[in-house]
Amino acid sequence: MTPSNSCSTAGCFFPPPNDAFFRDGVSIAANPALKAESSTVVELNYRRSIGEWLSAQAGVYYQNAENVVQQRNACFAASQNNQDVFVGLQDDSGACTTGVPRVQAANLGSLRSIGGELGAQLNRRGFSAYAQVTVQGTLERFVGEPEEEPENSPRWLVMAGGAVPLYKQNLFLSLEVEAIGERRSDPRSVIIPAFAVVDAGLASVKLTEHFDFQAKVQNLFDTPVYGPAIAEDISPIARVPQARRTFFLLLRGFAMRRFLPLILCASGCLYSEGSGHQSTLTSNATGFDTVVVEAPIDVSVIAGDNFSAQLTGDDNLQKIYSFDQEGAVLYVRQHDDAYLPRLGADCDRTLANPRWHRQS
Amino acid sequence: MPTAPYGSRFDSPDTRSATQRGFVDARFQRRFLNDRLQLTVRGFFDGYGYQDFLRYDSPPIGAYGLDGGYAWWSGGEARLAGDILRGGVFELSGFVGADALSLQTTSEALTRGYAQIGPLRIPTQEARLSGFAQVEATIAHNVLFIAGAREAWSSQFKDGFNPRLAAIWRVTADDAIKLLFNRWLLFPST
Repeated sequence: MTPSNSCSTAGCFFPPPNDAFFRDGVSIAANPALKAESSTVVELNYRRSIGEWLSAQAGVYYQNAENVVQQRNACFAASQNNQDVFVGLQDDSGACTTGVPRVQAANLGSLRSIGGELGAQLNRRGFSAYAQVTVQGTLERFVGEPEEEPENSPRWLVMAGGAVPLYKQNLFLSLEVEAIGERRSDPRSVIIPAFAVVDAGLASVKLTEHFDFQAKVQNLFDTPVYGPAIAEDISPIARVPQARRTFFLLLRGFAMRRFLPLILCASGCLYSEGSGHQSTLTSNATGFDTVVVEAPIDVSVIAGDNFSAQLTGDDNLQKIYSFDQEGAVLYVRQHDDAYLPRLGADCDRTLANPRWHRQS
Repeated sequence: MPTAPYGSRFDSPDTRSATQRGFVDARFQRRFLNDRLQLTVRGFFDGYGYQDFLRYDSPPIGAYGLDGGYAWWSGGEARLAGDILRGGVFELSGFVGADALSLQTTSEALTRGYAQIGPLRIPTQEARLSGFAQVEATIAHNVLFIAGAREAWSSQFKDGFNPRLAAIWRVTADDAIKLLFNRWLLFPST
C-alpha cells in the first residue's frame, strides 16, 4: 500500500532545479539553502488468497515528512552578489515594510499521515471484480501556522468495479464506481463535498481477427464533480469543475490488406505565418498497414476500402510536410528546420488548419 | 486559448515560451559465474531548456520580460547483484553499487520598460555521489528479510542516509504478512 494521499497532495512536491537556483531580480528569489525533503514510512500489510479466484488484502501505514517545500511570499533585501537576502515575511496585503517582495521556495512544512486500506479481487470464469476502501487522516504544519488538515485530502476513498462477459470471452460490459469523501480546496474555507461517479464501458477482445473496439461513458449519471483549486497569489477559482458525462469510442484495426487511413489533423497552429492560399498534398502510397506521424499534429486513423490520403492547408504548410512510405509503413514527416513558430503572427488569421482526409 | 502567463498582457501575440528536452541513456549488462552475478553499468545525459518572452505593455513603453532556464544532468551508475547462497534452507542474495550525478543550471532574466533589470545570468552546479547496498535473506522458503541503505553526498544539500527494512512472512501458501520501514530523502533538484 502506498500512502499516496500525503506527499503529493499536502504541499510536498518534487521541485525542479529552478526552485533552488533560479532568481529573476523581479519576482522570484533563489534559495540555494533549500534542503532535501525527507519522509519516513512504516507499513504493515496482510494478504490472503481464497481459492484460485479470490484474494483480499488489508494494510495500515504511518508517514512522517519533514522539510516539505512550499512557495512563500517574503521580503528580501537588495541583491548582493546575485544573492537574495531574506529579511521577513510580507504582511497580509502582500507589502514589505523592509525590502522588496519576492516568491521563494523554502522548507516550511511537516506532515504526518496515518491510514489503512482494505481490498479484494475476484476473477472467475471471465467475470472479474474488485473493491478497495481507503481511509486516512493527514495533518500538516507550516512555519507560523497551526497544524491542520491539508487541502485535497479526503478522509476516505472507495473504488469498485467489475466486468462481465457478454459474448464468450470476446465482449465485456464493465462498470466502475469511484467515491471520494469531503475535502478542502484552497482557500481551505471552501469545502468540496463528497461525490461518487460511475463509469460504464463495453469493450471487445479479439472480437474479429482484424477489429476491436472500446466504448466508454465516463460519469454516466452526469454527476457534478469538482476538484480542488491550486494555490496562487490571485486565484478566482476556489474549486475546479471536472468533466461531466463524456463519451469515448476507440476503434482499433490490426494489420490487414484492406486497411485505409483517414487522418484528421485537429491542430495546425505550427507554422504561424501562412500565405492564406490553400493547396493539397496527395499521397500515392498504397499497401501500408501502419501510419507513423512524426510531427506534432493530432491524427486519427480508420479502416476503409481503398488507400488514399491528402493534406489540404495553407500552401506554406505543404513545404514542410511529406509522405514517405517504407515497406508497409507510411510516415508523415515534418522537416526539421521548418517547425519554427514565429513571433507576432496570429495563426488564426492566415492559416487554414491543415486537414487530412481521404476520398473513398 | 489566449493566456496571460505571469501577469503579462492578455492575448498578446508577442508573448511566447519554448521548452526543449533531450536525453541519452546507455546501459550495459552482463551475467557471469553461471548467472550468479550480474553487472549493470549505466550512463546518461539529460538536458532541459526553457525560454519565454512576456509582453507587458505595447510601445512606446514597450515593457517586456525575458526568462531562461537551462539544466544539464550527466551521470552514471554501476551495480553488482548476485546470489550468494541459494538452494538451501537459508538463501542469501543482494546487490551493491554506486552512482554519480553532475548537475549544471543556468538562469537568465531581463526586464525592460517599467523596470530596467538585468541581464542576469546565474550559473550553478551540484555534484552528487551515492553508495547503496541491499541484502535479501530467505529462511525456510517462507520468511524473507530485506535490509538496504543508501548514503548520499551532495555538494549543495545536506548529506542523507536512507535505510529500508522489510520482513515478509508467508504464513501459509495463501497468507502473507509484510512489514515495511523506509526513510527517503528527496533532494530539491531531483
